[in-house]
Amino acid sequence: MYTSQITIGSQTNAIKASKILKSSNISCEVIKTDKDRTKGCIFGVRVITENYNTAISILRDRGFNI
Amino acid sequence: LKNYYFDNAATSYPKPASVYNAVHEAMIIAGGNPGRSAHELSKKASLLIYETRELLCEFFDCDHTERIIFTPSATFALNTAIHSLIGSGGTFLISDIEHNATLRPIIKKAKSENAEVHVFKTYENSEQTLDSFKSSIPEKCRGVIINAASNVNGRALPIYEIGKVCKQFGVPYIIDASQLAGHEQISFEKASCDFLCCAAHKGLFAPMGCGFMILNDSSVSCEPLIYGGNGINSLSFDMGSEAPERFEAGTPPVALIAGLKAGVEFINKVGISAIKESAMQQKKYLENRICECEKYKVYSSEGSVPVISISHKLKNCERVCEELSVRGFSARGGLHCAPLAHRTIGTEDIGTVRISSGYFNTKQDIDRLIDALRAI
Repeated sequence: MYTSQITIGSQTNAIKASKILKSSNISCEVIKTDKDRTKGCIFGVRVITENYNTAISILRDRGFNI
Repeated sequence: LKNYYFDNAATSYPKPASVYNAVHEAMIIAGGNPGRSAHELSKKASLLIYETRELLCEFFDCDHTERIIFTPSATFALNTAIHSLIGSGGTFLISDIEHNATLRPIIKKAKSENAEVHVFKTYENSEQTLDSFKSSIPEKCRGVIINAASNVNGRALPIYEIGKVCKQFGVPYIIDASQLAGHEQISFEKASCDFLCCAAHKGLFAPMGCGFMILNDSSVSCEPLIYGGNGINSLSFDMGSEAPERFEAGTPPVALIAGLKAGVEFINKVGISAIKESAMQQKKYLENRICECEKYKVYSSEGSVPVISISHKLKNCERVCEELSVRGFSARGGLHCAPLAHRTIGTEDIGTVRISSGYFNTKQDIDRLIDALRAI
């Protein structure tokens, strides 16, 4: 099973994102992402790749700037 | 010697058993540094803090979890809020029941920015207080800071009505809810304030060392008071734009926040209206019983915060507190870090003995206190 990372920012917002996704029945976990090393430490969520687009769409609808 | 604790306005004691357990448990099961790592202990700590933000959001009727900012104290929160009122000249407006947590930073700020601090008079009657407030708003008002309830005699101010006026005039509005929280339901949305600052260790039953503030749309982008590591964007030299991390430099007190969570859960379980009713009954009973003792003068209010002040006709307040302490009673004498409030009730020169009961006090405790006061 392939997984994808969604970069969020702070761990607080990553937890918030994970709660929103879980309430939409999208399983995910909070991770410290290595996607953007230019900024330093950053948090995100890991989702199953097939849910990636749906997850992005849900989070954008809830005001996440991703 | 059993201790009868009547100093709940300083910090509530005892705490509910669940608070002690939560603090202990957090140190074991959530012992990692939150917001820094992705290992289990760190994530558990972060989740615990996040859930506390959610709980506070619901408790204070606020929509944005990330706008609950943990601070080491209400004083720290108030300093942050006051620090955010940028500019120079003009006037700050405060009430005549402010604590030094507000008074000292605002005086310091006004001095350094060539501004003035005006004090409006408060009354037992909320409408009179509101009229006094309205007629005191200066032309170039840079901010209004008010104490929601006095730590000297429990006087409560009309925070919602004052908020409406501030909104109408476009004036930044800061509330110190340290004494009121846990005794009255407070709605952040209805208060229309920019900052709601609060101690966690009084009516909310948390351990000492923890406070918080709630921010609105405009204050969420204000300058933090301190800078340092916050777990994100480590290559950047500034604090970033994301709340709450923008305002929370350094490692947060996870165990204390766990205690706050348990404290608020306790209030939700008992019901804030039941707590309020119990506090009102205690306050009334205490006031009536002390009024029976001719050697004491009582300074009280009709508000729901169970705080009253008394003064002995012959002995000074510190002496009375010392004699109470010898008999096993905890009460606080002096000016209670609130010289303005004492000036307001006419006790600036003598101070008072403050009796602040709490949820765990009983009628029998009050009866014993009265016996001790009579004996002094």
